[in-house]
Amino acid sequence: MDWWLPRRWTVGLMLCLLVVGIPIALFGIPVDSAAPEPVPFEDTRAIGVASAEEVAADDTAAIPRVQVFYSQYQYVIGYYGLSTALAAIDEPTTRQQYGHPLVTYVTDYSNTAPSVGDDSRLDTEQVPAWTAASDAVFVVDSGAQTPAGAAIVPFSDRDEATAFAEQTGGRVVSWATLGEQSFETDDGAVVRDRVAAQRADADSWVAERTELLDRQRSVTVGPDDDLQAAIDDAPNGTTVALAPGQYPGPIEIDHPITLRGPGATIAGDGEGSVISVTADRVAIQGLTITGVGNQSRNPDAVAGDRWDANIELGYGHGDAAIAATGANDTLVADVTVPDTPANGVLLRRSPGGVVTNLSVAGPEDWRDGFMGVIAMYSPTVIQHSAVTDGRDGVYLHRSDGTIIRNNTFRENRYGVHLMYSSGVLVADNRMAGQSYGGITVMTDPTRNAIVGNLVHNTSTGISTSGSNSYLAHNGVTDSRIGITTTAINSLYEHNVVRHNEQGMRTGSVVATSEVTANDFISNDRHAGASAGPLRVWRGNHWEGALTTPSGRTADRAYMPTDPVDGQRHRSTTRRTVAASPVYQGLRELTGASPGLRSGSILDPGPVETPQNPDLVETTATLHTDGLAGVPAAPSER
Amino acid sequence: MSPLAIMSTLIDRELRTAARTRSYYLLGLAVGAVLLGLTLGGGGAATGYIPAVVDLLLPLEILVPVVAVAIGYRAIPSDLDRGEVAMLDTYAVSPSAYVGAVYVGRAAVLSAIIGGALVAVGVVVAVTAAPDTGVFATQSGVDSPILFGRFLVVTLLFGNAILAVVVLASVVVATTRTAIVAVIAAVLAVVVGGEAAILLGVLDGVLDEATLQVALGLIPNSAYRGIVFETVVGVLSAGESGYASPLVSAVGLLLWTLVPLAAAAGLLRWRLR
Repeated sequence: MDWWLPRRWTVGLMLCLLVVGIPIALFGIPVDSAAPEPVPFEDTRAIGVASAEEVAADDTAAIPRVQVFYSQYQYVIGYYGLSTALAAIDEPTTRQQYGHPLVTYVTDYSNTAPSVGDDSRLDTEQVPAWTAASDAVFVVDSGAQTPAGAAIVPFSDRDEATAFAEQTGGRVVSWATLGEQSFETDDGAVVRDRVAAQRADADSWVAERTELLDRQRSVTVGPDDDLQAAIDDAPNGTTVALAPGQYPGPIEIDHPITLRGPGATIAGDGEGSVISVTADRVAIQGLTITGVGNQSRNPDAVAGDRWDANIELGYGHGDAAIAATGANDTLVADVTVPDTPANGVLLRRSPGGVVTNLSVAGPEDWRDGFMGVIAMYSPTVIQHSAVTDGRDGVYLHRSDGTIIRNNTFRENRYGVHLMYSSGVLVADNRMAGQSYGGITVMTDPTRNAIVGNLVHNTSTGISTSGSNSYLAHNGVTDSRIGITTTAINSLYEHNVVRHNEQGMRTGSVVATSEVTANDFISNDRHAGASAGPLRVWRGNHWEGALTTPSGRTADRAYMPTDPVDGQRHRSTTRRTVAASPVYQGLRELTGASPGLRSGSILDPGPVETPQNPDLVETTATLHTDGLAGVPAAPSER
Repeated sequence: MSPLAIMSTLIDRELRTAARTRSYYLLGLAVGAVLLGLTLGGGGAATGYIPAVVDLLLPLEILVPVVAVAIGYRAIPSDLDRGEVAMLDTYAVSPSAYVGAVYVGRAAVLSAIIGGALVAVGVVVAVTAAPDTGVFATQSGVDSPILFGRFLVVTLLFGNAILAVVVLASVVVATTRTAIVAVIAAVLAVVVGGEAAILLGVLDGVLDEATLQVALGLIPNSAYRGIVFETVVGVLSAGESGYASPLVSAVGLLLWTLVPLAAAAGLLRWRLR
């Protein structure tokens, strides 16, 4: 065995390797060299298009896509559209939360025979594969449009890119060039700046519809007259006035007239809708409507084969006190529906309407009723109305730009329920006792504003979804969860949550929202976190976060999701635990790797005093006295 | 006997003694339990290596010196008390070889205890770290066991530097009875005093950006923290560096290991003269 080294040498070499070799090697190996492979886009947390379902039902190649693996983020983020991705990568919040992109993949339009159709849509013959963004070139100004803006089309093959650019009049740029341009998305702050204008728009929108009440009276009808005949005979643009009394329904209005009848009741026969409106610019004012049919859907209805046909059939063809279909610019004012087993007002494909001072009540159990106001494909102003005991106070489907303000909702399933509706303003509503939710946003819409609402005693006060939204000046009390921060890339500011089981709760694994200047008071837990990284919420007031045994306040970070910190306001004993050096040592650097942490919230700069004293006072009254204690129409701000 | 053979025999003796010392096993268990407790309490281990490092870094700055004191404070004084050092003289064992051997033996114990506990933490992270939800595709970013390995290596460098300080302080007083006091005083002087000096230097403006990195490297705790920030936690953000100069800090830690040992050997030689 001559070839063996002497034993001592072997041991020495081994030791050397262990003590010197391996440690030095550990510092020599680069840690971010191995790039992960792209994943199927469906598996990423996808960002960038209002309702992904609309697109998913469509051609997947119509929007170039991006997926990014960040240095300190566990989830792969997908983006619809290069500009969405580039804006996000540049965003300082993204840097702070996720770190830098380790590798970025884009859909590759080489070998897919891309073209731009007459409708400016990007078409391909093959499904694009993934390629690394750094190796790709990009065609801009091709004229192709996507729901996320002008398309930037990636190619792994420069010749194909050049060919596509020549064919479409675009030009070819590199990834580095793209990175130098600045891309921005509308975030919550942009929506905030829109709110005032949107209120003013709503004012003039309502003023215009209210002019319908000034139409000249052509006839006055009494309870013994044939109402339908009088309506049919009334000339366009005139008013049919109803004397007080009861009139049999149902009736139909198929030309632009105004129906006014303070003190008049139209009684349906319990089948179908009571007043059907099928013409533009019809106004109905001052009526009480009874005898609504109890069907929430119509088995004979047809809705075509669009992706949302089943939603329309399921929700949009029920009985209603007033059903407007294909009727633009409808006005429903001062109408009372004392008891409907189905809808109050239904607007289907009737944009431009105004519903004001409507009062709807449903059956005791919301399961037996339907929507107070339902608007499908019908941007509407719904204001100063009250819905009690309905399924949803207001239900929207694809009604972008609707304004829901100064209403009161009690004992419904949801107060306001947004489906596939973006750019909506929900302002200054008051609601109490909803079984599931006060304001509930679903289906990933974008640019919604939820401002100045008061919610009391509800399962989830305000439940958000989607992105680029603005939630501010809302007060939620005595609910299971006050406000969820599921809407990403949004701004949550100046809200007050008090006496809830959980003040706020995170709901998205994407932590790009700003949550600031909110007041958390007397909640069992100020905030809870669901799956996802550490969220950094800055500059909120957390009751009890800063108090010390000396009674003075300390300057310190606060972690509402922590079992020790999170109960400071409820347990003075835990403040003793929180002062332990071990605890503080553990917590000191927690914020250093937010993207790699889970299920928690950190406020690095909590503030001592409540940020919204007026709303704090209002919500205190809301907590003790319910809606009775707060003014009917919260002042506008 | 060649000096190497003497060293090897002495190291062997140290290791055998250590292996027979039950309290080291207890210490190891305690350190392991504390680190695991901190890891689980910190929550970072649930998601990855870097968050676990972030959780453990500051507690380890305290824990490691304490362990070093426990392991090293009586190694040489008890030999002196029993007259064993004088006996070694008859075998022509040089004080340097003796100090070196004692140190290597104790360093092995410290490395085993701290290293073992950190490996256990690493295993916990490897087994338990997972994203909250499997709804979306997940990845680990730059997080990797390599970074945890670096953390382990730097922690041991730090621990063994403090151990050298402990050995020196124990040689200074040279009796078991007073060793503990001297050793704790020395460690406090280095750990707290060094940091305080840096802080003062920054407050007084004596240290500017350029000299601060060097100064940080020369204080064991700062050097340790600096290397971990620069080579482990700082990896998270590309382009962001300058927490410390890893090279200066590593050299600093090595100096804190070698200089006290040399001083201890010299002191012992002078005592035995």
